[in-house]
Amino acid sequence: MQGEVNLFKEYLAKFLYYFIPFAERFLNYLRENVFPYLTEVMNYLQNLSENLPVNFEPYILVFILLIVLGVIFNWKLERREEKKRKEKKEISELLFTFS
Amino acid sequence: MTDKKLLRKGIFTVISSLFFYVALPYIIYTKYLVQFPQLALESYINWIMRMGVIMAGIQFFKSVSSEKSTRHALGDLLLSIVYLIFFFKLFTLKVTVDVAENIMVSISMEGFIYIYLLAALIGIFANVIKVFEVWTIARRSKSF
Repeated sequence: MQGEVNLFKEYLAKFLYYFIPFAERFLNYLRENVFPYLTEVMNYLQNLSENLPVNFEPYILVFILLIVLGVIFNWKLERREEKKRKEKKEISELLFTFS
Repeated sequence: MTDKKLLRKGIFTVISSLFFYVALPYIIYTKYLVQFPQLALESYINWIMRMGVIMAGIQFFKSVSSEKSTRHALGDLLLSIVYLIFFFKLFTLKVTVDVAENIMVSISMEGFIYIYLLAALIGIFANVIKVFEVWTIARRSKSF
């Protein structure tokens, strides 16, 4: 029968039986060959997160800045689209007069 | 999609992100988690709220620009960087629990850091490539 829970459990068990050893091997490989190179990035992030301001004001300032930037860019986009629309209208009017 | 629609979408996104990142953690903390002072979760909640404000701003910046634009890709990149800092701090914070007198349990998620760091760095790299890709496509279409 389709959608049986036992069947799903069986498939899940099979999948995990093959996947877990593979995941372990992959993690060991990462631990030996990749993770040692990440320590510098981690140190940098550690310093950065320690030096970030504790009060809310700078974060709110960045938030306001992003909102203002977004509105400005959106306004510019709107103007550009209006210009395009006008150009299209002019071209269609010209074509209409020629026809 | 016209730009007013985009602006409306952005306002909706900023309100929802402020609710989920700032208001909801604050409500949960003040209503429920304050009752367990031994958990000392204040630093976690403050951190989530602080970064949540920036994340909401970036979400707005991203969603007011049209899809497949450089600004949208740039917003994705900024978001992935902020997510990295946010989760890094969350994983490095230690929660200490006073179980009983002279018994203290410290909980940390430092085991996740390296694997998350790897995934986040790959994601940031992918986003940088995406920004360049979108930028070159936009430049080419302008020259046509």
